[in-house]
Amino acid sequence: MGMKRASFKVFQSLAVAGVLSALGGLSTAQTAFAADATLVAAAEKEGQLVVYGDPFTVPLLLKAFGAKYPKIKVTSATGDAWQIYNRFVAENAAGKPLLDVMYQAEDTVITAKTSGYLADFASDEAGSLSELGLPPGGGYVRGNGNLILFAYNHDSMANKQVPKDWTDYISPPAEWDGLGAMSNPGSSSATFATVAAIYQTFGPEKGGAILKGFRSAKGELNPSMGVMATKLQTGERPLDFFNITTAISGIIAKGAPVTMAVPVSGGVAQFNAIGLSKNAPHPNAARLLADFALGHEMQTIFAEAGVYPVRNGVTPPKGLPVLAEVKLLSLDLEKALKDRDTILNWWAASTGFSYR
Amino acid sequence: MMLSTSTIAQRSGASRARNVFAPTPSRVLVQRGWLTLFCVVLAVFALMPLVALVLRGFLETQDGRTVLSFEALHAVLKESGYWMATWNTVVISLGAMMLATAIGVVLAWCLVRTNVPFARTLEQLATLPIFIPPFIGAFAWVLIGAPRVGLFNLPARGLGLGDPMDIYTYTGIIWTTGIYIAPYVMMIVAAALRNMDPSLEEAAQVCGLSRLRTMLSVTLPVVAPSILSGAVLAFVISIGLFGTPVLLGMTKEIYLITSRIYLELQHFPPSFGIVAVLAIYLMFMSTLANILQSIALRGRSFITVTGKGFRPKIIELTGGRYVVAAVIWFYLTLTVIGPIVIITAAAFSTFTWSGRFTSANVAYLWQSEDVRATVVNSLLVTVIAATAATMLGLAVAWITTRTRMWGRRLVEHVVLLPMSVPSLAFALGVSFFWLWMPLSIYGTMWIIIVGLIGRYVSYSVRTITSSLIQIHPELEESARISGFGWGNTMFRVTLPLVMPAIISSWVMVYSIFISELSMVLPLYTAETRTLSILSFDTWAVGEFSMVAALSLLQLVMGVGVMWTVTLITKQRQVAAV
Repeated sequence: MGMKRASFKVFQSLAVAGVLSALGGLSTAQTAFAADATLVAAAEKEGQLVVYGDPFTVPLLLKAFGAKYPKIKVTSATGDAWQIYNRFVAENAAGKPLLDVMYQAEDTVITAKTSGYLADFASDEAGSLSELGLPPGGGYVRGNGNLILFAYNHDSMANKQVPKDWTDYISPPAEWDGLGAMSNPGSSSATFATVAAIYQTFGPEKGGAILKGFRSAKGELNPSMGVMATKLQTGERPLDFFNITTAISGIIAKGAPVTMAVPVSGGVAQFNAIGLSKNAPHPNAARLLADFALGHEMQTIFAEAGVYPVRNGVTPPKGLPVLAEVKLLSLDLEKALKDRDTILNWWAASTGFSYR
Repeated sequence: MMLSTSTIAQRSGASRARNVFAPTPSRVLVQRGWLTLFCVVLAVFALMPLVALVLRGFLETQDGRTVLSFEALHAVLKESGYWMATWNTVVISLGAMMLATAIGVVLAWCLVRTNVPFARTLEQLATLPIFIPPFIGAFAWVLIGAPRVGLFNLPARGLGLGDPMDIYTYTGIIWTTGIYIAPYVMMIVAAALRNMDPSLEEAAQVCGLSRLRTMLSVTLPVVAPSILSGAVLAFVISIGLFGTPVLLGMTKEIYLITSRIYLELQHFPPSFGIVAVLAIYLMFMSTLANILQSIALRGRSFITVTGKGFRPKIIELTGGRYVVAAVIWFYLTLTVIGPIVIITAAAFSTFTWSGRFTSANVAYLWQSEDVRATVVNSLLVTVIAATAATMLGLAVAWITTRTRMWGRRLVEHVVLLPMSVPSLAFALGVSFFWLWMPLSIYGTMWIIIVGLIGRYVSYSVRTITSSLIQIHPELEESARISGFGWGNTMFRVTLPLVMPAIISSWVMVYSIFISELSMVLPLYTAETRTLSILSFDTWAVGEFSMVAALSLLQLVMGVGVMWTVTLITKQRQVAAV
């Protein structure tokens, strides 16, 4: 109960901060997206565009883009980030590059960049983006953010202690036995980002103790965060080790007895990034879409759908903490990707789960 | 047309019967031409994706040169996890096969050969599980049999009896898989029973055999090829399923080969070598099952339909028919109606289980442009692919049972190979192959259709073959002797006789295609997105109530077509009488 009140206070203060920041941003960038006429003409001349990416945000993006630029026919494929990325690599390896724009989990976009598949891209909208929208290394931009936080079914956990911080898992209470769930960092980008953040923030030893504690409480491995979200709402596994706002905000909006809480040490921010293929068959249309995704109009649509905008002056999603205000675990994703095998093996050794 | 049975399990006299098809020089040329054409079509549809997958798995580029690599094979052989996955696959698939075969045979016999009340309705009800996507069906069973919250466990928990049911176990996976596959066995055996002349059973009973002994010593041997065919199909479907074992097995670390393949393909960088080796394991299991089936049937004839007329006889169960009906209703309530009610309740819930109901999820079905577009795509892909797969299946079945063409056995083996490869791995092979082709259909609807045909044509071959081998060639010989050409014989004799099997085959592959997810996943684009992909994307963001609504739509699309086909068939039968 105490935790519930504390969470509410955190959310309340974050909401106030969000409103203030939104009001402050009103004056900066509220103009509708207006692309360069030459770029639009060139893109419409190409007439086509192929986008691969995230199943939640890409359909929203393409619907709005299609309404604004009906002369450009857009084809897309969405799905699990690595699976889609592997498809992109297979097409390039076969000498048949189809993709123009990649809009998906940042780790896959970084991998594409370091593998030499992406064109160097700096958006015309960069000046209007928040710091969160611009990755340190450049070469691509971030399109939207998500938060990864604690999530639990407050009905099922009503008479039980709920976690306040990651370190609570080092010695989990007996009443958590058989209640926890997590997904596989080998296949889920959001899970990898979270596990990597725990690794980088707490170090292998303390971070390993957190993971071991989760497992000792009979935490189970689920195929995806979607499955975890369903088990969370039914109460089958009412204590997610963590979950992502895109999977949870929808069921909370429908009244599911689910609470998302920011861990004391911090949550994890995970981004969908926009990369333009070096071999894009339709480079102008690709650039037009990328700029459109970062425009005020599209970023507002994202926020209304429950994902975090990266543009200044856009009202954050209702009912969720403000991304810029939330305490975050430190995460250097590029470094984590270089240490990917080490981190995955550390996770496997700590939890006893297999990641492949 | 009235037909009749002649023999059971007699030593083959079929070679004499096939004399009319004995090759003459001109016929040999024509046959070779047809066979070549078939080999090309089958190679493109069924074999080349497997070749592409294996090549991608075993070839590596080193210093600009392509070299053969067995690293993946070593990795699979040395890691105990893969051995465990192989063991789990064998145990669970054999268990599911036995369960599905037992249920399928008993249901088929009761519903086709006895006077159980509402037999036709019950038979249609029994086929419903195949129209529910396996991962949705598995999830319905999670809601029923999960510890803590499963509907089956809640009353027991209230009484302090703990959780009597746990779906996340070997037994749970075998049960969920077995009842999903049972309708396939039932459909194959039911088609064979409909083609069976009851005079043999009458003769047995005249000789003093009880009904039970008649069934065991006469009926079962006559339909043995169909039972065996159904059992092998059940085994092969089971080893290739991935949704159920991933959802139910992964949480308790019960990994099957398909789960390992799924994990590998979700990973970066994926080891296509490991995927290829594991796919070869499954192909080996499938081939072994088919060889064992061939050995079991070798040298025996199962012809039951000859030139003599018969009218199928229904066995009167007198008062017992109500008991049998009650048992079937109980089974169907548990395995079909229960899960469908669960899915329906979820579809009308604000969220699962809120106890609050809404029509918003169902209204979304006709309000959403996404749903409309994916329904159109699903129907187009499904109808074209099901029709083409059935026609190709009929052709292969006819070649292997009715001709002495050189290489016909090879054709049969080629077509059966993809059966055991998980759809996801086969679809990757399809994409690799078409990416390598200069004239490509990659990115179009046709690649999905071609992939589905290649992966599932074997189902049609199995269904139609098991029916064709029951039909004595003397009927076709009579037609040919009476002056009918090949075409007339085919269209006026052979096709009408195997029409129940052709319809069964079409409905079967249609039911698979309408809910197929993993074959479509690596091949679709926005323009070719199907309803299954929309469900999967919706599930990925945790909207289970909406997924449940989409599943209901898939169920309606499946059942609607099945009932339409049944209605048309019935009207034709009435017209024929």
